[in-house]
Amino acid sequence: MYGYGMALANAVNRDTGDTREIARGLRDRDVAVLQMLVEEYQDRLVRYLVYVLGRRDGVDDLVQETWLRVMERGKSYDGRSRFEPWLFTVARHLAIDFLRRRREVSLDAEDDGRPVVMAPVSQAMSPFALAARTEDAERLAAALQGLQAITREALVLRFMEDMSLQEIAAVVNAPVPTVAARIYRGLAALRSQMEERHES
Amino acid sequence: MRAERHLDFEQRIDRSLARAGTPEDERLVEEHVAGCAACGEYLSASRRAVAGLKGFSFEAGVGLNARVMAAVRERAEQMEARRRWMRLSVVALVLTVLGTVVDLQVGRWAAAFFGLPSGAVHHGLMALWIAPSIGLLVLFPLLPLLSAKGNGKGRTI
Repeated sequence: MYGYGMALANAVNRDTGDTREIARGLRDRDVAVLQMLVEEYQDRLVRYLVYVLGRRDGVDDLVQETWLRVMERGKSYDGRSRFEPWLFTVARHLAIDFLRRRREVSLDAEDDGRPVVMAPVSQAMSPFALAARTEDAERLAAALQGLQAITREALVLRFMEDMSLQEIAAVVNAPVPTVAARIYRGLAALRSQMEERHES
Repeated sequence: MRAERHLDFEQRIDRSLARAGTPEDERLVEEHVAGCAACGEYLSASRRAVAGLKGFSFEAGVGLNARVMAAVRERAEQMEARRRWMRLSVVALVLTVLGTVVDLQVGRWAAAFFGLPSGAVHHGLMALWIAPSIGLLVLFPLLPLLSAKGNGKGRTI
């Protein structure tokens, strides 16, 4: 059982052969494979959830819940595609439940013309302001906090996770043009921050 | 302020950044931006915005990995225990069915063969085979639940 973990140590998800190893490890509920995946993807999972939720509190619990769900439903990952979209899909479903429980933001009902309710989060508590490490990031923090969750989600998947539009569409369960529109909207908001700086 | 905006090229730039553009879009943008200051600034601001996203540092909290792995191991043990009890439940079910078949089909024949009263054989089979099998069939699925309640491991979060 623990052999897969060692095999994975050298090359987690570098190519499709490794995704097969991940799938086999998940199918066998190999704890060593889970550990390898946690170490490899934990920070990215945290980042994705912060972008989706727009907050830091509650993220650790969701991360833990995501990995438990990955173990329980690992058989549904077949290894034919990259692991990240599957992982983020699992996390997304849990985030939707989390947001529904808190009755804040809807990730699964959008673009219908109705305003999306955003939880009031003070700027001091913004996870983006706290995580900004550069001057540009500080400028973007406020813009990010003001974006809809679904727009932030599209941005992080496209520009931080480097996913294709098709992969993002699969994660967020939306048509490709909708995903592209979310990215354009997010880019416009962030670009205006950069242009303001340039002009000032 | 930009003197003149070229919306079609701005859209092409957006498509290119979103990876929604074609190679033809890429080529046209490259050629156009080389000679258009406004679109050059648009592209530059877009790239700075994307680069700015990399200026955030989101890391897992201290101890989160250990906490997650402890929960994963605990859940794995619970699932393994549940599987074990389910396998035993299947065995109990098979024994129950088999005992009932024996009672209905073979009981009378065996009673006649050994010269025993058929009621005694039936009661014997019920007491020694069928009833214990049914008891195990009911008990096995409940054991993991009772165990989880007993040691407080019903929830991991």
